[in-house]
Amino acid sequence: MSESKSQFLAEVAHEFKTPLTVIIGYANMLRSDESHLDEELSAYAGSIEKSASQLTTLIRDLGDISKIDSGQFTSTKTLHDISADVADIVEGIKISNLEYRDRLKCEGSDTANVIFGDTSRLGQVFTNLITNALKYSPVDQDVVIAIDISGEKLKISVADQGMGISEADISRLFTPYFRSSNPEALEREGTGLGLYLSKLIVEEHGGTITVSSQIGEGSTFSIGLPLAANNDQSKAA
Amino acid sequence: MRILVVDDNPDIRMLLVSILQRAQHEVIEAADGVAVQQWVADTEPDLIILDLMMPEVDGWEALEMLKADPSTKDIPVIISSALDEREDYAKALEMGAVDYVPKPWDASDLVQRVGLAGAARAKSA
Repeated sequence: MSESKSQFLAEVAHEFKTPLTVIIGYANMLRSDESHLDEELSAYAGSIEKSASQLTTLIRDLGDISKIDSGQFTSTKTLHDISADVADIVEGIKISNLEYRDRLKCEGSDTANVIFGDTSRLGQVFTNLITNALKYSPVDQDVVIAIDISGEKLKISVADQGMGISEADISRLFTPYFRSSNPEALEREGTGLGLYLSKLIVEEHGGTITVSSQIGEGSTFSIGLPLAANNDQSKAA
Repeated sequence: MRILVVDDNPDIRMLLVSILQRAQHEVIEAADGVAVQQWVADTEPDLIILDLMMPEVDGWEALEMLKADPSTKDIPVIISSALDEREDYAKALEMGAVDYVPKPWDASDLVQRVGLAGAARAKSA
């Protein structure tokens, strides 16, 4: 992306935020208990809220991508226990989406695994993968997040039992603005930027992101990240 | 609480007035950072919600002035801005803001943070 285009995208993203604040703010108010709206009107306000939130995600993703492309994407890396971060993210998703409470299973997060990385950026990646898994699989199926060590790398996988992804789609899954040709998948809202952004963030950490999938059986996204040199000591401590 | 809202966008001010009044706060509006010290002296707010990108005197300068003045330095300031770089968060907190709520914020989240900042002030007073 050219620098002027990146700059333009960053400015557009910024300019969207003030009107979005007004839209979301009033929709929040309309939906609050004190408004005493009838069910139908409250549902309309809910739709405004949801659409504006999607737009917010799109704007944030576009802003991030333009920053990555122009080399202005900053990350603040520290040594931290990523298992604890993943467990926190899973808890956060359960709290803000009670309907997901029983579907999310987290395995291996009780062992500390130290990496050198940006907590908030990697958090974006895990949140994206987990919410995708929930979104693209049946409401009665579990999503399993597993953390384990494979060689010198830490592997974090997110497995669903959803609709699966075709081989043709997998080859383009991590490219910007890609949306699946599967009509069932297209029914779900998405910007086509989340996985592209996830890949950029993971690669910026010297890691890899891969997917394996079977149509009708589900998909597993795996992230490989280098463990910090002192991981063993920190586990022993 | 009495809250001073400083934002150059009239729609944002109107929204903040609606949200904060519903949460039983008294709200005073200021459209720029130029006379922020005068506004504070005249209205003696318990808390200030401050935008950053404003014409003439922006939020950074206004925050600096408020924190440099012994009569206003203890009033908690919450930044409400469309800037959402971590450098901005860090800079604002270093300069003395108590919280940073990036736009677009969620109304109930904002009210909660206002309540927390107010409670912390009451406790330390």
